[in-house]
Amino acid sequence: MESTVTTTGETGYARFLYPVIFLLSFGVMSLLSGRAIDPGAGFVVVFTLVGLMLAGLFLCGLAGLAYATNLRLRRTCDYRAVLELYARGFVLLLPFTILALTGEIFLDWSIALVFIQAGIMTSGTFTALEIVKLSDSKASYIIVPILGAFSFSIAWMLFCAAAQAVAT
Amino acid sequence: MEAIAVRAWSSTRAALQVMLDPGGVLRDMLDNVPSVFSLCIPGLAFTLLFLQAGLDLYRAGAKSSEGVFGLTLLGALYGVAGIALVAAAAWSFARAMGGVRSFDWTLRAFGISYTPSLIYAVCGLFFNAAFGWNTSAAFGVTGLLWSIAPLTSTGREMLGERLGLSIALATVCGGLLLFGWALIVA
Repeated sequence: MESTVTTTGETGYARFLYPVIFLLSFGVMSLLSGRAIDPGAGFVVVFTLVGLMLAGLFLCGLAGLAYATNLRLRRTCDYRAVLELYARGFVLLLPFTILALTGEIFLDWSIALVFIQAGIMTSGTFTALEIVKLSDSKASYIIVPILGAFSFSIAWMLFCAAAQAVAT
Repeated sequence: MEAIAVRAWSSTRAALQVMLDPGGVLRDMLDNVPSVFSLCIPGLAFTLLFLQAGLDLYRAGAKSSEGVFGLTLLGALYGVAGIALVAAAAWSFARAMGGVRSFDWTLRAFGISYTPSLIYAVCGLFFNAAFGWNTSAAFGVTGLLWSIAPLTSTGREMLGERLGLSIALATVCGGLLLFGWALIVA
């Protein structure tokens, strides 16, 4: 009988670090996106908090979706392990955050949305490939996580558009 | 006709695979790709990206046709020499951190990592030429950002699966080429 994995096998340090990097990246990206829409401090704070909540909900949702639709993954992992896998995958958002911040500070760019969308898709794809590895390398299991990441990316764009409409 | 269709599908599948599973492609294909060919990928990608920037500036009246030609040539030089220099710096860093990959392997891996940028550059040039859109920022930045994932996979191969270090390497290398491009075409 196969045993169920309850964590990804990371050390306690890494398990703490990945969610922190996730929240930090989305916090900075939300702040930059909010500033591009309306530079008022109150608006930026609210936008950042709502953005962080949305990002957290999506991360849990993506993990739930992958867990619910992948029978092979369910045989070996529990929901918490899949969530940790997603938190680890979204560490790849860090380069995009650093580059967006650098572009904003030194080149006066205001295109955080481009960086965050590319970052979400890259991180989602990276996690999808890890999920396939845990699903006996069955390639069709890549589809749902990638569609999930794509939905997340579109949802973030709609969130920014809605915030823009509220601000104007 | 059927052979052409099979080849076209095979090329499309290879391009998609580079975007979705760059690490797998690097492992599977790299030994069969000559260094010169892999340097052609960033060379062509940056040539087309600089050409788009030149066309945008030409339409705005800020560049002459000779200026656009010069900028395009600069793009070819930037793509080949820039990637070679960044790959050399990354290889030196990886060796210092205990990496065992050769410089030739690193050069080929860095070149192939810019396949997503080439795809975006081709798409951008199509919209630029066909519809007169200003595509250099939208397609250029997005295309260069899509190369971060293959660069991270390359870093993992070079640094023995150390994710943190490979992310740092991809950030610095990708950032250097992105901001270098942005500063030149600005």
